Amino acid sequence: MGERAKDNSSNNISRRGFFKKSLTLATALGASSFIAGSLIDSETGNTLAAALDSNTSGVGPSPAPARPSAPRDLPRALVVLARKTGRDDDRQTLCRLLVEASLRRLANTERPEDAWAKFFKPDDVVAIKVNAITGKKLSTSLALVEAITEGLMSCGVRSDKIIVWDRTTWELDAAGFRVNFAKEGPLCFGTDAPSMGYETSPTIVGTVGSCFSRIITGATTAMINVPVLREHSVAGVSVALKNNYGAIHNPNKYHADGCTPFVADVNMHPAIRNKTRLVVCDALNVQFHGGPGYKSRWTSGFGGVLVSTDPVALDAVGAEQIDRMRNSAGLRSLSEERRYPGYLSVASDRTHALGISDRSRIDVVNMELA
Amino acid sequence: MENCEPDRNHVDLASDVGPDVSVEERHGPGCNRRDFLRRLGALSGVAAGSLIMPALGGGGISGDTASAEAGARVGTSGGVSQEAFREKLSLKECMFYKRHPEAEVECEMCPRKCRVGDIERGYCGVRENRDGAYYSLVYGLPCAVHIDPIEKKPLFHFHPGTNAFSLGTAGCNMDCKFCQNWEMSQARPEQTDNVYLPPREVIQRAGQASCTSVAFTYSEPGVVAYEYMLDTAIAGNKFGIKTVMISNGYINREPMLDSAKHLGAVKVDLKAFTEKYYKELCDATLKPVLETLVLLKNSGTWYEIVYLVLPTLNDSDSELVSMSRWVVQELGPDVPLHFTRFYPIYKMKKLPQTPISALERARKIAMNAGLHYAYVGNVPGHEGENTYCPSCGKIVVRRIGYSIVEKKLSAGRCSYCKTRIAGHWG
Repeated sequence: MGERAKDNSSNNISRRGFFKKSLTLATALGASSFIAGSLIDSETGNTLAAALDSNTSGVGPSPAPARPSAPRDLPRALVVLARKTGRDDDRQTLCRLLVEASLRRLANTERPEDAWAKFFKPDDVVAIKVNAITGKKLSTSLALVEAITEGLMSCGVRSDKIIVWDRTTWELDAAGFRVNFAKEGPLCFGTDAPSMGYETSPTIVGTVGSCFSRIITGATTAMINVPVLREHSVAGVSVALKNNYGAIHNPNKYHADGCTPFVADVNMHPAIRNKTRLVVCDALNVQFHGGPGYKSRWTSGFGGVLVSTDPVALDAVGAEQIDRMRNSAGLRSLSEERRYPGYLSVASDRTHALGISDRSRIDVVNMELA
Repeated sequence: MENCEPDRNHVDLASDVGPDVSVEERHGPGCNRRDFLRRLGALSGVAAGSLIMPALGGGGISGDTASAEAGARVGTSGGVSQEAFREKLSLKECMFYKRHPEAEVECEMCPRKCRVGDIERGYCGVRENRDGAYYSLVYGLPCAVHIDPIEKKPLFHFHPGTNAFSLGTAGCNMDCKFCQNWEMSQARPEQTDNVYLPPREVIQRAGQASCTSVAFTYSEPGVVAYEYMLDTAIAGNKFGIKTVMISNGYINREPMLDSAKHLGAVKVDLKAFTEKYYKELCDATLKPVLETLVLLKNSGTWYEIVYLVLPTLNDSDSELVSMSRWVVQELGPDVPLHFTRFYPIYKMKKLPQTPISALERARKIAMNAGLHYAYVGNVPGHEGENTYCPSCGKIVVRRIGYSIVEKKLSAGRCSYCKTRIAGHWG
């Protein structure tokens, strides 16, 4: 497939060691799942909670976590970071390569369709949460979404059971998505679509009281979160966890204190927590400063994706990548600006147990596709 | 967010737009007149039933669900499309904000002072940063329009027995867990179904409906749709139609001062008398509200206070005594103070409604503290709804609910003892 596994960015493990470790991780993931229901037939959202950090440090941006060596018996998270170098492919080909390679690595399978089948069943109704708030400039790539829908269909999910969505239909349209209410899928519309809307009463989840989108609280059985990798002036970063602000009717109420603990609390809603099986983060272009509004001077062509079943770990790795770009551009780190997302440690505390934020317990597989 | 005036009833509005409305002004070149009129026709059809349009799920607080749902469909079918709304209808540059580097803005309308990045909105959800400029998204776009008795606001000492052309927009700068109109106040404008009603048309409609005032009410339009309210007030004053602001009082000094010059009256919700309550139940702070009250007193604008009594949360004797004493000392004995009844709703459905005895106790405490006009609200027929002359103690305005059944006033004086009764009696 022309791919190669680079050395682990944090631990410098050998190729053999990596395969050994990824096999172990895949097994561990299958057994305990970082997101409840993240693998088929897994109902283990709570089982992980007992083993997670007890770090419940409070409100407000926190400094980036230190990296002491983690005890070996604690669960670990896996994030696959796939990039394509070399000759330019068209967007569709590039995204297909990135998604297939990263999914196979994440699921530890040879064939991409087998990887998809580890996460989704043919009778699933899958909601793909994109991020379309910046129009065509820096929204989730259409080609990436196409690669994902192809992958879903490869494992038997019917196209009319796939819904590409965000908060409003017009934003999807403005971002270039083909709005589709028809029976032939994949469907594509916002929460504001006729017969959708928000729940009629607010659900209280921790500090958050919001009406959640019926797209995810309704007939959907599974969700794929497809955010964009970008810095956020208030939240520090806006990646997987923050992307779910698009599921609530009143995100403007939850931007104080660096969005902490609100981002973590929004993700505690059962529909999000239990249905999210996969995060595929669009890092084709990455905005490392000045977000969430698009600023070309602080956007870098990264040409990659980050994939994980653990949204907290993916966000932590995403923040790390953003900091690297900031460093290259001569900007201070998020921690130095006291904007490192504090909600990551909250999301991984015992109460939330949404994933792992402790960087020493996150394995990053860097894949560079030739 | 006004906490005592649930938006529950409906009123017909005229179905024609009136001769002085510029299509181009509203829609720009992207929308032709025929399209516009077609859309407006659809809107008018709905207006015949109701213009309350809570769209969070299509249900809403209205007692008339069918009408509310018909309204809710406007935004997605024949009405103002989301894109048209967003791109053409309602961009009005905000007053009172500061520009910062990197296309950030700082809102100076209310004490939150939201620092807002490009494409983001402030806490209120209706003011948006677009490329470093800050815009109101609800200028001329109410989502609820009714004709109400002025007593419903409640304003008891401001032209009693008249009607107020009342409108509310999406958005609020607080998040009260007991909000009676949360479907509007906690929504963003694209989640409500709105009608286009620019200031001059508001005044025109108010005049047609024989309303002597326009009330910016229900949610918190006086703050979050400040520009809309201000332009309406200025337009209305030319025709003798006063604008009243029904508000939480959570607004900065400068905008309040500027608007007070043009407003007929202000009603302020004093939600409690502790910072703790404001923080935990309203996501706000008390001090700026008290400052607004003092500012109103000094400005000479007529104002009244509502205190929504929540059982066990803000109804202790000590808190009521402190609050009443503060009002008498800082504002004087003539400011009307309404103790209104809470009904379980929104995030406080488990709290029981306020016992009438608690309202009576609060009223008694206020009167004992020296206030001349303390009322019991949301209890139709209660004797505490009446206005009593502070000198002779006789009833000068007898009310049942929102209706005036007897008025014993002459030129603002008690008909019995000639004592001046504070207020604007018309």
